[in-house]
Amino acid sequence: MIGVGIGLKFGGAVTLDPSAQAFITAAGITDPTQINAVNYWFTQSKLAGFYSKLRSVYLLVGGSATAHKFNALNPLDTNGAYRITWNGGVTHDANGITGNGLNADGITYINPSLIGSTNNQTLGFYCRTNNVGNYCEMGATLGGLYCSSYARYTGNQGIYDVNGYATFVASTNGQGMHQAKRTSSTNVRVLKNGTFTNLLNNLSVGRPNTNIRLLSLTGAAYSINNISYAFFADEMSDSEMQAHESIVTTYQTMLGRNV
Amino acid sequence: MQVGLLTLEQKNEIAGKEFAPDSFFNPIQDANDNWVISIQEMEQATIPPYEWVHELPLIEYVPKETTI
Repeated sequence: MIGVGIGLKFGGAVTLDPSAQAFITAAGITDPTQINAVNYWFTQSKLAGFYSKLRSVYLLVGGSATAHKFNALNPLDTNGAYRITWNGGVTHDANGITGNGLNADGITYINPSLIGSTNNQTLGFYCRTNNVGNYCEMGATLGGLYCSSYARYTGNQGIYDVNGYATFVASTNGQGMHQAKRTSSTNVRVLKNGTFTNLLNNLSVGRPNTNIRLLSLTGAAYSINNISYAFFADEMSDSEMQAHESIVTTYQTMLGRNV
Repeated sequence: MQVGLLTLEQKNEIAGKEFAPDSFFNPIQDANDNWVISIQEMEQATIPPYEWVHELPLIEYVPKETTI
């Protein structure tokens, strides 16, 4: 583990990262284990150097729709802060969020066409379950354009589609940390549980002009999986993605929900 | 899976309304164009005046065909 339990001690109390404190206050988190894990995520993500590339992060900690809705990077209760609106029968608990395969999702108000650029975006999530089927863990589609990812689609394959066509990567286990980035007009690169895969000749065709949702593809392919972290960012380097995976994995371990 | 069956009037009454803190009804149509909501929404509804969804009749859900 990297820097577990980091915090400066003064007079016996742990001083929290100010961004962590803002998120903890907004989300109403009072459990000491959760507070420590959140502080760890913030401090380590800033130290690792990729924090400024993140656009939205959903720590999915606190166990309620209210706690889970906030963007950790800007915990305001507004669409512009990428606060999530939860629709339908999402289950919220200590393990994050779980879809129902019917009508449950969360609108993030992150519109890929309005942020950054087509060939420099990264998205991903931490999946705790291993259900196979037409289940989209996070995605946006409009007018034939896609920005989405499925942990484990039918046929034992994950789908990673960053502003291009659906691209399949062999997978018999959808659990763990999934990250996909578009690095150029022809290449998508995936990091899943420590293994990189290049998806060459994956042409970028444009960004869907609609909001990314968690647990569905814009109101279709509703997932039944359990997600305990999600994010959207500008393009991250390979080393940044590796550090990100390590930090998120340790974060999940601190919360007792790693897989 | 089983789902709660709504009339059109009920659908119009609850669509987009908050049924629990920061959670909003999301009625959808099944393959027979029935309006339905999930068991989770029915069970979790605590905000008045929508507790009546606890008593909705249940039907077996038949999904519309979708593709990616």
